[in-house]
Amino acid sequence: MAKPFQLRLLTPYQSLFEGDVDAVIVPGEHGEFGVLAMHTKFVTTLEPGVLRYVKDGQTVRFAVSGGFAEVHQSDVTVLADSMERPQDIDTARARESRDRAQKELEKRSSMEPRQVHRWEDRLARAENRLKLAK
Amino acid sequence: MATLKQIQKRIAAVKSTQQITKAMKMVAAAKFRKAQEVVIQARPFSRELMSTLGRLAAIHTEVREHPLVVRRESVEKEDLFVITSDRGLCGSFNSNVLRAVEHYLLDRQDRRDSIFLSTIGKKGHRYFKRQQVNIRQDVDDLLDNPIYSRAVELAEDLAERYTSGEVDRVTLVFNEFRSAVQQIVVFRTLLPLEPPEAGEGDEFVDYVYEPDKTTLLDHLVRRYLANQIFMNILESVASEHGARMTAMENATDNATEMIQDLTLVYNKARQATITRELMDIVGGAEAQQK
Repeated sequence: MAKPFQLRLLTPYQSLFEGDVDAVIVPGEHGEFGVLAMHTKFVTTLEPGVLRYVKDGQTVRFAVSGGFAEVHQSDVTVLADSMERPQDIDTARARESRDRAQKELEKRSSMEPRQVHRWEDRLARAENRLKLAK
Repeated sequence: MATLKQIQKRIAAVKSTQQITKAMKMVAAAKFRKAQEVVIQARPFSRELMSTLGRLAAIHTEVREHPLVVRRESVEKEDLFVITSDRGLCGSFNSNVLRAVEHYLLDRQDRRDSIFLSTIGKKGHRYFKRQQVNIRQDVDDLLDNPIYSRAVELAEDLAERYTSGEVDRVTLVFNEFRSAVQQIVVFRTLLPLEPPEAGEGDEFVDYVYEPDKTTLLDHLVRRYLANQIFMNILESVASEHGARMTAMENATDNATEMIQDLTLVYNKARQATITRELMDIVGGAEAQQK
């Protein structure tokens, strides 16, 4: 059994979780990475994706939309721009956001690169939410 | 002297106004509590972000030399972000901010053309539309339901403006929350960004960085800017509901006082009428006896 360590999941809206877990898997810049206790000190940015932690053999999943994570030897802190449990995802809003972004991106050739980037980000966030909500 | 009927009508009018102010006070109180809760919920995130950046700023010069942190020698062009409310009836909440901005512009009359206003909140937007000022944008989707990703986008816009040299300074003007009865207008410089200081007793350990150190520190600096915008908006919203609650409480108290005064006038007038009628009767009776 893995040694438990402290995990904190924070968003600008609330603290979602604080407690001991056995492992956590985070959607990092270079793909997903897993953290067990005594991991090396480490900071990474997050991509839209699924964050999972394992506690007492149970896996709990969250949709994450970006942010960063800080790993110390005995604790991990995730500062996400937003994070939701699958049951808390507002699918109607996510679908609306996805459709809007897809529609805007049809005109990408006439848009500034920054604008395109922004809609792509929104699309990625919405799709990530919908994927987990299903 | 007003007739009895007129006084009665006024009392009824004040009473119905009082009912409205009382209801508005209750609504504002509920919203105030909620807004305060939102601020409290947002604090752990904000604190952690600050402490991480503070620690990294202490060991990496990249933070101090970041394009968003470096100060310009002279400020010529600047952005003012003015946070007001969408709705009125909140005492001097909006007028205090608007007046402070007016003073700021007056003091810089010589370079007034190089100051660009952006508004968050309908009240400020409506006010400045009628003034001789440069309005850059109205951010109309952050007050009602503050979404962090919108604050991030706004921060990206500002960062772009600052790094490209379009502006040399970005300042936020808003009501800082002191208590439900006290809000203070503050000018907070967003850019150049002031990186947080490391806390006492912080451990300065270096990390492994993903994707790489420069990208990560840049990400943190930008998120810190977004977080400042987000937190200050939340604070202004809490201030607004506090100000409205206080304003409506005062209005309700004033109405009570007014009703008391009017009731007194009404009773006096009634008394006077009765006295007059009695005099008439007594006078009539005496005349008959003679």
